[in-house]
Order: sequence, then C-alpha cells, then structure tokens
Amino acid sequence: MRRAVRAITALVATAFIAAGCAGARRASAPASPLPSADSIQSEIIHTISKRLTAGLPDSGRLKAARERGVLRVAVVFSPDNALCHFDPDIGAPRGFIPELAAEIALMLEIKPNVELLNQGERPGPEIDIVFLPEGDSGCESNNLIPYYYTPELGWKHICVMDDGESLKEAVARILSHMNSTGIFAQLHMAHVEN
Amino acid sequence: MCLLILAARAPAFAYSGDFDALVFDFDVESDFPEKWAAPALTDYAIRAISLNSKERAMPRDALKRLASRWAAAGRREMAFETRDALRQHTGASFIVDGSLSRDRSGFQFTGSVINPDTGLVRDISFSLKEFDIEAARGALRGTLETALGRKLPNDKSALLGTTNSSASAAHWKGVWQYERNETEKAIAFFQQSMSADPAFIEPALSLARAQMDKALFSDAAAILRKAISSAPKEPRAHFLLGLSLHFQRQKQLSLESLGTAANLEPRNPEYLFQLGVVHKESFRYPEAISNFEKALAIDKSYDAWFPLAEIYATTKQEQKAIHSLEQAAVWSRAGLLNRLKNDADFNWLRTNARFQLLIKQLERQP
Repeated sequence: MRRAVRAITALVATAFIAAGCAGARRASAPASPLPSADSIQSEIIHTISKRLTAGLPDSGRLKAARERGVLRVAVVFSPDNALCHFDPDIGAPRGFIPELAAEIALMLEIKPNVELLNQGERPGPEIDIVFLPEGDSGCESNNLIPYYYTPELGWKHICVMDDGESLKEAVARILSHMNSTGIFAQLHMAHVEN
Repeated sequence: MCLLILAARAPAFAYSGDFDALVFDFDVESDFPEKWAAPALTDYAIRAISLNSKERAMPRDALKRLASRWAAAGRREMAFETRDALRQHTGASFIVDGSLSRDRSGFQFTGSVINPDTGLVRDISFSLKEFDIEAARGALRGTLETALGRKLPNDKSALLGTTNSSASAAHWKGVWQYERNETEKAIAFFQQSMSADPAFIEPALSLARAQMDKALFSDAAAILRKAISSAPKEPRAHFLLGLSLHFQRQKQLSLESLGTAANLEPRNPEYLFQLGVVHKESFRYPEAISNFEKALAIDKSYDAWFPLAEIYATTKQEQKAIHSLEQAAVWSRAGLLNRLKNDADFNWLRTNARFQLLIKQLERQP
C-alpha cells in the first residue's frame, strides 16, 4: 500500500513537469487561517497557556476575550509613577501594572489593550479586568483577586468583570504562575525597586 | 501561454533560500515498533546531505515550523502539492521523503528523491531482516548516495553529535515522546541520554526545551548555561537561554544571549524574530523593526508582519502599518480579523480605505 502511495506521489511530480509549468515557483500564501505555531516562543506559550487554563469552562469573558483576541484592561490612575504612567513617546501606559496586564494577556494567548481611568471613574461594560487602587470598593468582593501588598497601604486588587468564574480563575492561576516562576519579582524589581 | 504566465509570476521566492533540500519527516507505519527511528533517520538524512556540502537540507524543526504556517499542511498525510509549495517557498531544488514499515521479510524503508523542476524522481529503498538503527543509517546513507550521485560523509560524531549509540537512541526516543506530548517520558529519555554521554549536546537542548514547556525557566537556564560552557559556539543553546531569560523577563540578559545566537547563525529567522520580540517589548522600536525586517527578508511567511504593524500603528506610521497588516493577511493568521476589528491600537486606522478593504477581504475568506 505504501509503495502504491509513493508511486502516486511520483506520478503527481511527473505530471507537474509534463504540464510544462514545473519551473513556476510560487510564493503562494496559505489559503486559510492556521493554528498559531509561528515560533518556538509561541509554541511554549501555547503549551503553558493550555496547562494554566486546563479544565476551565470556555465561557463568559474568557471566551469573549479569546474570540476577540484582545484582553481589555483598565488601570485606575495611581500617583505612583513606577506602577503605571502614561508614556507620551509611545502613546501608551507603561510600568509595573501594564506589564502585569501584558503577562496575563500573553498567557491567555491574546493581546492587552490597557486604558487609564481617573480616580473615581468607573470602567465601561466592555472592560474585562480592572487594576484597582488600595481600598477601592467598586467591585463585587467575589470578583476580587489580591495581587500586590505594601504594609503601609495594604492589598491592591484586580477586579475581574466576569459573568462566570473562568476568567477570574484563569487570572488567579496566571498570577500564581508568575509568582512561582519569579516573573512577578522580576517585573517588580525592574519597575518598582529600580 | 504557460511561459507567459510564468514570466509574470516568477521570480517570487518568499524564502531567500539557504537550503537546497527539504527532507520531510519519514512516515512510520503503525505496525512498526521502533517508531522513534523515524525522526532519527530523518535527522540523519538531513545531516548526511548537509555535512560538508553546498546542498544543505533544512533542519526538521525549521521545516516543521514552516509547514505549520501552511494551511494545507494541517492534514496528517501532507499532499505532494503542499510539499512542493513549501519547496518552492524555500527555493529548494529537491524533496526527500520516505516511510518505515515492517512485513514478514523484516524492516522496510521506501522513499524518493524528487526534483520537480527537472522531472527527476528517484526511488530509494532498502530492507533489513532485523531492525537496527546503525544498520538502517548505513543503508540510508548508501541509498541516498546512489540517488544523489555523490559520496556522503560518514563521520559518526558529526552526523549524530555523539559516538555513543545508546545516547543517540535514548535521545531520539525522547524526541519521539516529546513530539507526542509525553513530556515526562521524554524528559526521562533525555536524562538517560545525557548520562550515557555527558558531552552530547542534543539531549541537553531537548531537555531544556521540555523544562520550558513546564515553565521551569530557571532549570532550563541552568541546563543551557552548562551546555554553553562545553559548546560555546552552539547557537541553539544561546537562543534557548535567551528565550528562557525572556520568559523570566530578564530582558537585557535575554538580548545578550539572543544576540550571541544571531551572531553565530545570522541567517536564522527565528533568532532575528525573537530579538525583534524582546526589543519590541522593551519599547526599542527601531531595533525591533530592524530585526523583524531581517527575519522577513529571509522568510516572508514569518509572523513578524503583525508585530511590525503594531509598532507602526503605535508610532502613527499609517502607510507602513497598513502595508504590514496586508502582508500579515497574506500569510493569514488565525484570529487576525477579530484582532483588527477589536484592537484599540488600530482604532485610528479605521477610516483608512485600505484598512476597511482589508477587513472586507478577511471577512470574505472562508
């Protein structure tokens, strides 16, 4: 059987040549979308992401964010420049919190869109997660994930605007992954301690 | 008529062509027990063709990754047309393929060397009463020599990376397990291979890669640093170290290792792409653009178009952003349409006629 398949392959090759178009070198692109596996980096991210989100229902905001390819993040403006500031040179927020948001989105294999909110300003319904300042109570308590502690100010929280548990659980697992791998400490060192 | 069409279409190499041969992973029949021999013999064929030769064969991991960007390559049995499209994309001259099976008479290898441009099709085959990897390698080299009409090297150390047969076998058993997502089994084989020959670098690289899949980046970095101390000119070790440091967000150290890898192997698009990624995430846009463009100059199918578009969109370079998005759509990526529709970075482009046309074209795609 195998030999028969090979013989057919050879015939197809010969047919290409017989058609007189053998020299036609195409730079033809794939005709339809592919599962992403462009680089070693994306392969590794895909493997880790699959493990981090294993068993989570593909529903609610997690599903929606993955479908749109974008995690919509709001950061309530902080007077602490190291945590988050707007960089006019790149036209985007930078600092520890935007990097955390980027890491969360990366592990969901999507891209973050980060917008800054003024103190007291509430996020719109399109927002998936909000990085709240200390003591902000504008989030249902069962949607809060503590992520950053200082003895002076206490815990900062992420509010997951989920209608289910999937996104909240995914974010919590990713934060735990960032702690265990040292990524959290590295980002803190780069943006806050330095 | 055909010639006229050709004149209009050629030359259009998407890959600048450092390789003349594509050796596709040998198939293995389900009844053949030593399945790990398939990647082992494929790699052996690649190295035999490449060693001391201008007719270099693309490494199997690079070819697999290139094939993964090809929509029609998703099927289990890749059609000849798809293999030939990949060959043309790389500018290669010929294709080698084959399969391993077992019947009553013993182990069988059947394959072919095809040059569709010249019409050259040569069957390559051999059989062994009992399977033995060393004998299979020798027989494969002999059949390739006949098919290619030239002598191939027989330097065991250079062809296998080790003179220790059990280290080589354990490594390829690990690769077979790893590629079937049996990471723990793979790790055990890689460790066994390293114990059999501590100087053999392949299992160290494979083990580091498996550790990175488990997010054990520090462990991976330790393995790679040790590998680099014994093989400082091995670009893959520097690249994987750079990648593991990048995953730990040690960006400066990551750039140093990736830069070393790119200096050692300047025409590897993967290294250039990764340098672009780290520079982009560090907001060093000119350096990121330069590296993405270098990667694309070697292989236009690389998914560097979208990050380039993001940089141009962020820095408000409208025409370049649109051009990069159009190219990203040519090498169409899963989810590109939704990203274009939803990503706020592209909001300011939404009134651009070419951007709107691109969205419409993507919507029309099946």
